[in-house]
Amino acid sequence: MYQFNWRPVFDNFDLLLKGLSLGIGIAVLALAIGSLLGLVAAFGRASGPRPIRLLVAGYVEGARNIPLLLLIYFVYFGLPLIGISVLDNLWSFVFALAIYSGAYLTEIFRAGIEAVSKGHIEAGKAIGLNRWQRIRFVTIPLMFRIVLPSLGNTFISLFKDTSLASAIAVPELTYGAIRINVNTWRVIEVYLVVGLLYLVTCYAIAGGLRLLERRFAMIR
Amino acid sequence: MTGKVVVIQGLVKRFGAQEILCGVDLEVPKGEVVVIVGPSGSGKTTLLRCINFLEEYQGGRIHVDGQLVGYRESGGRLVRLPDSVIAGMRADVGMVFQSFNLFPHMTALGNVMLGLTRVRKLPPHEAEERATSWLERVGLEDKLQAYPAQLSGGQQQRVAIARAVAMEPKVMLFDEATSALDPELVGEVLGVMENLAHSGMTMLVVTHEMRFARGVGHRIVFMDKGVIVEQGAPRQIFEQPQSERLTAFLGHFTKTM
Amino acid sequence: MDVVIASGPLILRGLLVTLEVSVAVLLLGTLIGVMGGLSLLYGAWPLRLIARVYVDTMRGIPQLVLIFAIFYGFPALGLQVSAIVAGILALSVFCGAHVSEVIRGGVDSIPRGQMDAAQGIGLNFAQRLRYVMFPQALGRILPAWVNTAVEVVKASSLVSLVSVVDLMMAIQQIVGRTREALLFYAVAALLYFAINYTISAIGVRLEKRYAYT
Repeated sequence: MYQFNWRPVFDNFDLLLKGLSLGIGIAVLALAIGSLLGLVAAFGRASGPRPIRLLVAGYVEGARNIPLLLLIYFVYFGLPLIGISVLDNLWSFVFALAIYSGAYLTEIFRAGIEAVSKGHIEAGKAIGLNRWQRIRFVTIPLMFRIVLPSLGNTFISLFKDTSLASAIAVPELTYGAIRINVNTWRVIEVYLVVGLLYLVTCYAIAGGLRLLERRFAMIR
Repeated sequence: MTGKVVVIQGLVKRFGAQEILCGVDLEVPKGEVVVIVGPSGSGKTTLLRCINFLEEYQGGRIHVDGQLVGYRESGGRLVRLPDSVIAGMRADVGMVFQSFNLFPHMTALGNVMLGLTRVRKLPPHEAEERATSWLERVGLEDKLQAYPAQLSGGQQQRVAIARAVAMEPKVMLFDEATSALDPELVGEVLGVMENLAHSGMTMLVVTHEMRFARGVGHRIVFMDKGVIVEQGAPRQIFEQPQSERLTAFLGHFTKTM
Repeated sequence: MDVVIASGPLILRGLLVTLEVSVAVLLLGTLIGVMGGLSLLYGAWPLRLIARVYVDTMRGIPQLVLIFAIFYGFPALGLQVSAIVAGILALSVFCGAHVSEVIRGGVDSIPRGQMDAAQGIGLNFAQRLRYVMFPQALGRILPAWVNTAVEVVKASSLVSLVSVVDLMMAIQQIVGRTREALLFYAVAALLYFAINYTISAIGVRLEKRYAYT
């Protein structure tokens, strides 16, 4: 019979919590950078010249059909070999995750832009707003409210994806679990606690998201 | 052309192979209220939307306050103006839409202020003053901080009118402004439009509200199948229609008159 | 170029493992998913509760954690599992939760009126499911299931982190040896892309055949 011993886990709980907050921080950064990428790409695909549209399509299809792990390895191991070695393991991961999420966000934003009602844009035209002003004051604010649920789900996914950072020794939550196990081998206790931490965090984020939706999201 | 706010000459608009406007001529002097009526598909909405270049046109000319709308002349051909220039011209033409089109993410005050701060470049407190005063004039002084979702249709449309007229345009275009409203809310909007007319605003109104047309309009224009069939003073149009088509059209309305 | 050819056999072996794992996970996961989906839709409330907890739990934890938990945890409980079995097990459990939701969503999106009409002409429960519900639900389940398949292929790369020599691990080994990172990562990307794009293309064909609405 397996003897449960929870001490090693709780002695190292601060390590796990630090890893958890790092994971959230990484997810936030990746979402922010990915959103910038996604916004530019979405507008490019919606109203850019043909080469831009093809480039964006290539990016979206390419990044969505390959494993995230491959992208991580490419950025962390591959880039230094061609001379780009400014990124440490943490920033390599953030960068890779941002590129990965950017592809999904491009499609989310593109659908959102198309969903902004033509009438609102015409009202913007009618009061004399120019193209950039219409995008800035009408299209983008309305688009964000429309895609808020999708954005939130993407954020939760990104948070779960941070577990892959353990593959390149970034000290987030999963890596913390590995480290505790190496020293103490209380695997069952560790993975139960770590699993629970992920679970609780994901649901807390989802709950916060619902509150945000009630305040901001638009029912179409 | 002097003294005329809107001059339309031989306007032609095609949509694909279909000709929506087939040569429309119209002149609107300052302060006149022109009411445009006609069956659906007659092109009246399209005519309005060409004036503030929400629709392109392929033939003829539209001048607002002496300026050619949407294009510049280059060797007899029309060359489309850049978006920023068109935006500037649109600032001088106010439009009220059938479906209000208020910005849902801004309060009533915010809706009216957006054009004042970003297009007219007024400093914020001056924009707020002007916006507040216009919202008061349309009877919504207690709804300044309300969002469109919290307002009735009539209230939303009044905000939309304030939004357009606060820009101090040279002409106001009303595209079936009351057609999407519940009957009991139509009156409050027509009342605002009537006040605007009495204050001397140049207005082009597309509507089915014949009592408004008769009571407030200076000139009635009857359109059908992309052309102006008949136009004249309200009394003449409603009591002595000259054309068969107008007579048939008015026949639908005798009960409500 | 010859370095690619020299590594060819290794890459091929890795590719085979990736495909094996993906197919195994997809089969097992779909089986679990069908049971889970049916439980969510038609089960008695204890069964529905279990299925709901199962699906919602899997939604909140990363697949990697599950793989590690099984790979390191089972031996601690006395169950010896090889890395590849642990990987397939973990990913199948995950995939099962996904498929459960896909099936539940597909069936739920069929308007109530369809089942009412089926009852009205006297079909019993099994017949209603078989002749009315599932043919229509299939049209909505199929595209989502194809997406799941693509996700499974991508997730299979995680087994490389418990030292299974799949395509990802094979490429890592080759890169470690030859230092030709860009070349071989590109090869890996191309291979994964080819597999997933093919799956999506098949999905589109299937979707056209079964779309009734």
